[in-house]
Amino acid sequence: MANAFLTCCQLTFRRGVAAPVLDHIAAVFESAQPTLVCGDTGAGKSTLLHVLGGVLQPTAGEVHADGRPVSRWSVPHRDEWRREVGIVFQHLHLMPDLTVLENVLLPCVPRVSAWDGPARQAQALLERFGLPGSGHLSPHALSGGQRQRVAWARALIAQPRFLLLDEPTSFQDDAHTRDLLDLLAETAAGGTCIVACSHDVRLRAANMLFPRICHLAKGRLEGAR
Amino acid sequence: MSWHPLVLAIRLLDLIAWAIYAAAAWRLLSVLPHWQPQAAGDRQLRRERSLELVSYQAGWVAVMQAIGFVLLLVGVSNLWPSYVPGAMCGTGVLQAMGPAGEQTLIFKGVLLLLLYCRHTAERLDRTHPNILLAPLNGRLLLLAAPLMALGTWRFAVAVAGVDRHEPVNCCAVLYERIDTGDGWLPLAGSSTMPDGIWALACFGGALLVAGWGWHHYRRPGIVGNTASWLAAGLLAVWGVSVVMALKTVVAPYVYQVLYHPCPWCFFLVAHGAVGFVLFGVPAGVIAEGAAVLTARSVGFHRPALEEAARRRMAGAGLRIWLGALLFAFAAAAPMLWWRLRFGAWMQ
Repeated sequence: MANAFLTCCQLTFRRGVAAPVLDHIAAVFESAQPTLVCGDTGAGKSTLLHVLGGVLQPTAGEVHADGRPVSRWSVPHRDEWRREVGIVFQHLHLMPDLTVLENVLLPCVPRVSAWDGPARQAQALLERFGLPGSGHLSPHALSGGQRQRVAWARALIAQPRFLLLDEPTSFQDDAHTRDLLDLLAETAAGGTCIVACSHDVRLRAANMLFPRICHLAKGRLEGAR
Repeated sequence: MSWHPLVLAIRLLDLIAWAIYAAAAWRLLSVLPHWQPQAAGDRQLRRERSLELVSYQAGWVAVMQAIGFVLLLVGVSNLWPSYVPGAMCGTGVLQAMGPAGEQTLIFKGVLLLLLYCRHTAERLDRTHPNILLAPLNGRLLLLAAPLMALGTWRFAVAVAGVDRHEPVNCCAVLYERIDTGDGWLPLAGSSTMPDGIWALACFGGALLVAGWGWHHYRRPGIVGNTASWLAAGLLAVWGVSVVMALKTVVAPYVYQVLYHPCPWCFFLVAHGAVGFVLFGVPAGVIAEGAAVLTARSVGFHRPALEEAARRRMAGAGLRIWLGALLFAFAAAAPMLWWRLRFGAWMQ
């Protein structure tokens, strides 16, 4: 897989007439350099991820994926591009009426016609995340940490080129956080562009995985090192 | 007749279409003069989002107008004749409505054709990630305004013109005679062409159009302007010959009377409402022909959309081929059946 990269060109996002949540952000996120975005609560970290992933449209500026101005594409093309993106949402957004396995398989719905292969892959991912035999359960039957790992499995099942993580370890204990970071390192080595937003000091401490840490404040992305 | 449920339904559809159209046109008028595809500022992005909304609105306007047109055909052909003394089919209703009745049909028909061309251009545009045809699609939608206005106005005049106490003589119109007060005189502009010419033009034209469609299906190409104008001319001439041939050549076999050149009796339930097929299929073929010409024009002027235009032309070509053959079969079937049963043609 060729190395993926996301570019923000004067990216601005504003809700109504309030001050912009994101204000003319110019940044490049490359697969070779997974990025951790830090910032206070309400600084706009989740908004940034949602705009990068095509869930929200910027009010000004552009997001380029591999050089393509995807944020300005018409809806069908943007939807198709979003299949290249895996997102772990802060609030997980698992479907309560589906089983754990069905939740993990959701990103495969527009891609596959035969389910045997993806189902096996999903089971393998669940085992990798320490959830063997939980495929038939409802997400409600799991703990918060387990549900978050299901969200990870859902984000990774389609082998995304762009992986966006919003507070991805907030419900995890130290051991599981280490496992997730190992997995993240493997994913980054495969050429996936990773952007994570988190308060978690354990992620900030993972210098090897996140060589670049940015700080989002007052709509500006600063302090990259 | 102003309070007939179908008239109210058509007016309601028109009203909804106008409300949606007005909102779309207002947006277009504020977007098009400032359209800057190279800019990525907040105003341009707002304009792009506005255009997304306009495209949905245009789709709903087309749907409302199409439903209204079908209801109008059903009303004229099958429901309103009972309200007009002396009317036995749509011919009598249109006679009662005066020129405004036919004008309504023409304006609404042309409007639908225009909206279909716009829809074709927009679908082609959507095959490309960037919005390339926004100004063209916007102008085409704005061009619909006069046709919509004329359609609405002439329909109001037509309905108001129906006098339920004034009988009409629809057969006099049919037989191309008009009562001048001093006797029945031939209607000006009556066809003097022999029926055989119309039959040849209709069925020969159907084969030509089918061949043209097959050619586009097999080898869709961005041809020059001359070929496009020739194709448009062929479709127009064929459309006229279809109406004339149905009236003068096919009608006797469907109605089973020697001479009754009425286009509207085809739509009567008593005749199986075959008019919806016999007139609807050629109308569909002509619409697809217009789609071919639109796709050709788009592909010619926008190289980025050429491949999509070729695919659209191939799809339209297949539908034209099928439609022209289906029409030829459907129109010839009653004639052939008669010939097989009785061993002679109706003269």
